[in-house]
Amino acid sequence: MVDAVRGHLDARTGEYAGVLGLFLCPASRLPELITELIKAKPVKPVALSLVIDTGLGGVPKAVSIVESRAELLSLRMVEMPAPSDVDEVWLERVSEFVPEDVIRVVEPRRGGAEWLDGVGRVIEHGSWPKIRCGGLSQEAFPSVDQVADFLSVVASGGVSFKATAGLHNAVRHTDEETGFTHHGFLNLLVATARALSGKDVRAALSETDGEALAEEAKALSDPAAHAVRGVFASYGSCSLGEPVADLEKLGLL
Amino acid sequence: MTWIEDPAFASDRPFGPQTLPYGVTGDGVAVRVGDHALPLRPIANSFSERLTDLVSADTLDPLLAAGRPAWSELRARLTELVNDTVAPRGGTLVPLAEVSNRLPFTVADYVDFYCSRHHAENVGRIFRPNDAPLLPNWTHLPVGYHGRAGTVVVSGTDVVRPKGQRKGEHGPVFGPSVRLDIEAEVGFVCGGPVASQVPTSAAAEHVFGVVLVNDWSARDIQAWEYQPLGPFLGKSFATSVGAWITPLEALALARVEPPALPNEVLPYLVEDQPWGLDLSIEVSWNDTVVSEPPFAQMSWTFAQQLAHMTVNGATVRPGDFFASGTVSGPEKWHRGSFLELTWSGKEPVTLKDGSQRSFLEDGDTVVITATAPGEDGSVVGFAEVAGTVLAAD
Repeated sequence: MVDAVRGHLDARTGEYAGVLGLFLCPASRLPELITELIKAKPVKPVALSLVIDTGLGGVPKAVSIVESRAELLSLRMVEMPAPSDVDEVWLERVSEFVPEDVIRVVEPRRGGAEWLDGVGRVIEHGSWPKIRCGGLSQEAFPSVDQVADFLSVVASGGVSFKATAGLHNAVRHTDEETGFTHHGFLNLLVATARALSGKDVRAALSETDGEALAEEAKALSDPAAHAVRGVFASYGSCSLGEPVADLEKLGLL
Repeated sequence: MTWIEDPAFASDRPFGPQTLPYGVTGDGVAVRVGDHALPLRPIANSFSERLTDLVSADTLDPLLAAGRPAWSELRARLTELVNDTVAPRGGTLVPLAEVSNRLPFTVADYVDFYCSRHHAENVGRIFRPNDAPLLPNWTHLPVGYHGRAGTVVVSGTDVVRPKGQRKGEHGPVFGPSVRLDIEAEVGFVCGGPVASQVPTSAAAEHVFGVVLVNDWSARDIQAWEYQPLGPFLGKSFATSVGAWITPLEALALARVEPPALPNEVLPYLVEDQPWGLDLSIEVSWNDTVVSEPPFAQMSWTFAQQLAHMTVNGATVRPGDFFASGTVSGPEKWHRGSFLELTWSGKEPVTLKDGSQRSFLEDGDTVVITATAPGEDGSVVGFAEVAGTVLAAD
């Protein structure tokens, strides 16, 4: 937690502050975060995404802890895992618990036919759906088809989504150590653009040529780029350095 | 201030608002608040429509079948109700002393695992002194067997000393077990949709909550019968479980990474967010604490156990119940069975009253309790599992 807080506060005033998003912290580790922030004395509150790992019933308490520390934390987003068959009643409770100006991100667990229905319900409910793109086993990495299906639901709903895990590199590649093939965040970005303009999403997700992806991203018109960022709104990464290095290499930063 | 006036219903006590375990009283489904039961049927109107029938039921069976969205919603609503300043209309507390324990759900299939490395090694050394303590498959899969669902009993039920065959000098001998033992374990109550091949990431959608388990074991019967097909009558006479089920959601802060295995495991057993749980267990023998098994030392988690149990296509259904296997740690005072604690009777333990024990005597009572870390330094409690040994009929 010490390193995470220091890293975030430094990055906030660093060269790449522009690409830095929210600080993510699980609800179970809020007390630890607050202790560190009291020591670090940030000049302005840290914009926070609260990751609920304490169940639906844990939301009100975690939110009130954050709100009681307004000098240290500014709550922008609340993220929660959800069963793949997440339903309206459950989602309704989430919105009761989360303040209106805070973004709700819900991740229906991927798997089975009901997953995309769950994603659809999250969207209908006005929350952002989240897709998990990696982890410690092959199963944690969604296939190109699954990501494409997710994007088609999201793009047709015209809403924002968030991605997480396994996305610290720009371009699709296979990790030599683990043998897992990772999705690239640039692939996701280009695929989102294509989903919005009715082009081949699967090809963009499968692309391993970084230059080609970079060219396509650069060629997006301003309105198209804005539309893409409106949909692929955020993704989580435990490192700022790696994505920035990739983007620089591709001439995108 | 909450409307619940019970000093045991405080966040620094095991059954404070951070825990809220479910059980059953004569009035049906209830939640435990401190040393009281709060029956839910009389306050069923305080819940959303889809929860009304679930909380009005005689047992937890309908709730188990309802699945994670409903469980999660119910706990969230209960958290509001018990923290409110006024009682919900119809809300009446019943002192636990006036509630007799009932098995809160219908046990469907029962599986017992063998997932403490320390226990497996100890038992290996005792039962097979000339072989390697751990069999080669042990670090690659959670070893388990199917037990007897019909003899799972609720805490407080007396246990009649089993009779059976044991090995004698001149062939088998029949009679009451002379090496009756306990196994301190942690059990997982299943629910949600019927499913097979449950990935480790979906475990929380099929596990409703956690109870303490005492897997009574007749070591003499077991030693004579267990090869080649495993435990049978040495185990099937009784398995005791706690009367209140601690919901999985109460254990968010108790999650830990289990100790590493010496080898990689097959992909279906890999866990992204490990479900090791940091329960501190206490075993009392006639009021003397004889052991403190650490559940965080278990090598396999319940998510891996469930993944393994269903990977062949076998389904999990509401009411299925599986137990961790005896919990033992690296130290002598961590051992979760008397077989290990007394090293097969060679090192008897001395109880508070000065008496010595190797195995259970008639009239002995064993109580197992546990806590786990909760939010803000609180502890999450697990209802005790207690049982007294009665002489063989």
